Amino acid sequence: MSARWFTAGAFALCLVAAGLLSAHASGHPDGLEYVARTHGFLDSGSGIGSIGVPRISGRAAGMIGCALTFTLVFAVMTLPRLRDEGRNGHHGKPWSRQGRSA
Amino acid sequence: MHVPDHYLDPTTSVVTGVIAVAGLTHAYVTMRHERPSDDRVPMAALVATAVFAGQMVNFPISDGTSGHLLGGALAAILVGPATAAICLTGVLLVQAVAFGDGGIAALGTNVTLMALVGVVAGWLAFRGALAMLPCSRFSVPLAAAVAGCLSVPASAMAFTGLFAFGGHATSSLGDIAMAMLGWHSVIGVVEGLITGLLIAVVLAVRPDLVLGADRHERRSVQVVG
Repeated sequence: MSARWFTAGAFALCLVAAGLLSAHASGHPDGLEYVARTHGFLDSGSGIGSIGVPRISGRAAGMIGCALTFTLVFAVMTLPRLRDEGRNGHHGKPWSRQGRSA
Repeated sequence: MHVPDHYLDPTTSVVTGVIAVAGLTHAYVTMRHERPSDDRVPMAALVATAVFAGQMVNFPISDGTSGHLLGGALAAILVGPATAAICLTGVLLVQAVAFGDGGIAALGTNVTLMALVGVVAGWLAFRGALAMLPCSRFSVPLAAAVAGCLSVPASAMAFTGLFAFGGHATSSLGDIAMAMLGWHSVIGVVEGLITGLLIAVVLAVRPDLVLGADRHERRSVQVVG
């Protein structure tokens, strides 16, 4: 299987998990929230008040999140590559060992 | 496992923020040595997306509790621990900023627990299990399962450690530690199953994309040679 097909297939599976499977996910609190509830620190108020952020919600939220995550990490991972290319004047295979030692 | 803003006091949040920045700086500098090839960028983005999707699917545990994939061990085995820390941080950032899952002020705490402790514990457990298991085609998925299984209680213990400094609760710290460890050991078993299964699938389709297995092969070649 080519890298392109692997990426496309795996990304599609992620969309299915985030978009369809998550609709049937358990609505119970997760381990930490449950312990917080049963051990009296769910609303302890010992820390900072929550900083409000607008939330993406609805049926497409999971898929939007997948796209956001993919784009963000892709961008962050590309940054050092560009920097290296500029420094080494190397454009072919920026992550090759030859490229780094040059 | 996503810590909201008010569980820990501001001092602890600042300390975990500093730990997170230090750990991520180290990861960012060292990640280029992990997979010197062109597929690392799409693979890292893909692993982050898979972890994001996996964290959305809560599975029921019992007694009104659920768990979800943390993905630290999975990511570390696929792309290496330093790249995995960057991947998990991307996931946590999107969740905190766009979905209100985990607090903004607690971002450093969540990065420390899931992107640093979860990843490092998962990676060390994977390498340890791999060294102990006999070399066979099942050893990498088995070691991955062990890694997933141990990484979750490791993160839970790290949270309890932070809570000892910066949390206030009606129960004693010992009770909280036992409850955290108990529930997250059960969640860890499911995490281990998912991690082992996904690693086995990727190994079957594209074995070259599993960085942990790559090292394993090199090691077994050295043993033979």
